[in-house]
Amino acid sequence: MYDYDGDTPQWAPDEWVWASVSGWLNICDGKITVDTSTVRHVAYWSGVKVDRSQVVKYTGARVSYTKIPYERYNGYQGEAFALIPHFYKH
Amino acid sequence: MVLALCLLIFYLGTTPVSAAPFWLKPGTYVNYTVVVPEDARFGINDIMVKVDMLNERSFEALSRYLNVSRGENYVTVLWPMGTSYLSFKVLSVDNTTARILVRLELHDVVIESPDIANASVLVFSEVLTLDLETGAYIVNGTPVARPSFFVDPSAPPEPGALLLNVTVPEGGNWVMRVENLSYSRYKDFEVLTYLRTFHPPFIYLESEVVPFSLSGPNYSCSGGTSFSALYDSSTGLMIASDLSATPPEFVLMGIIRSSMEDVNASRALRRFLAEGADKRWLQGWNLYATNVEFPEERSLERPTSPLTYYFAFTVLVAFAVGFRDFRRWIR
Repeated sequence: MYDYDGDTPQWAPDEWVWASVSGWLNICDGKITVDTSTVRHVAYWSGVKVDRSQVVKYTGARVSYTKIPYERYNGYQGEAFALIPHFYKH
Repeated sequence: MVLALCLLIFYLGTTPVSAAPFWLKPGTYVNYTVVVPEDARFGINDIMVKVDMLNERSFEALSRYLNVSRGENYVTVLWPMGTSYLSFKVLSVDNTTARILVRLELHDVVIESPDIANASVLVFSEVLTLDLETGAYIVNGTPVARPSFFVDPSAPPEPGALLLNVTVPEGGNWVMRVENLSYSRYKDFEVLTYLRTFHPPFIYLESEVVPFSLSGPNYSCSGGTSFSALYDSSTGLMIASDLSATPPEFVLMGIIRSSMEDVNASRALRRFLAEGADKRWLQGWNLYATNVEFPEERSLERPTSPLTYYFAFTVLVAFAVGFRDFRRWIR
């Protein structure tokens, strides 16, 4: 089993941003945790301005996330953002 | 009379040359805000904090919520859910330097910790020394960054100029330079802020991106840090910044990257774009208070060049001579 979060703002068929983050789950002693070594970040886009070097891929002690700052051609700025926590409680 | 005129002409001929703006005096403040309404979605705003770059005050504030040790190689992320404030205050000015207090106040901050914690207010602050001659912040005599909240409108930093030059622990040397300086961006628009409406001409500054890749025992992250903002051409003050702009002062304070969206401004901008209006909001830090005085609007504006006074003076003398000759002639 793995955990996944995605964010896909879209304005037209060829104008979109896709940010996602996923990771495999460990289930041990009734605790569910994310195996941080398997965390994978995805960043794709079409028809918007994105500086690849500005895309944030973060895997920390408690959460992992992907953030894509973009600018539409009309000048509007925004961010696609996906996050998974590493710990789940019952 | 002649002496007074000579003095006046001498005074106009010697406008002082300094990187410091006329308003830089003790007590001057310039405040910005990022307004986030309650219905904004989670995660829009975040700041990435490198724990071993925090000063003692900021570390104390954060370590109340986050289980980290001083000097630990860790990057944590804070999610301010409420409205945030960024203020610059001139504490003192002497012949060569000024002391500037930079204060970042975050509200309703979600912090990763054993359980997700929530700080109602979190403050990061730093007192920086500004060298008035070069216009750069200095640490032990070495220039480390340029202020984000103003530029010298008569000599803004040109492409290639240093905005940031610091060593990030485990991250090497971070050098951020000006990539582009534009006088035409927003030239056909009014730019709105919480304080007032600004009219062109503007100065728009855009930096290069500083790409980074950091890791430690408990984390790894990659991304980029950059800065871009719009400036008022009369006072040189920053009017507003872009959404993912990280002011160079942040990096000096240990905040290596930030994205701060003024959600209220974004909504207003969306309306302007839909209506095709000639008004704009920028989507990052927006000016909301200052005691710097702005000159009157364009039609009443004082001449910008001392030369204009010379011309006015010449015309006055010509009239006086003409008037004298006219009186002689009718006599």
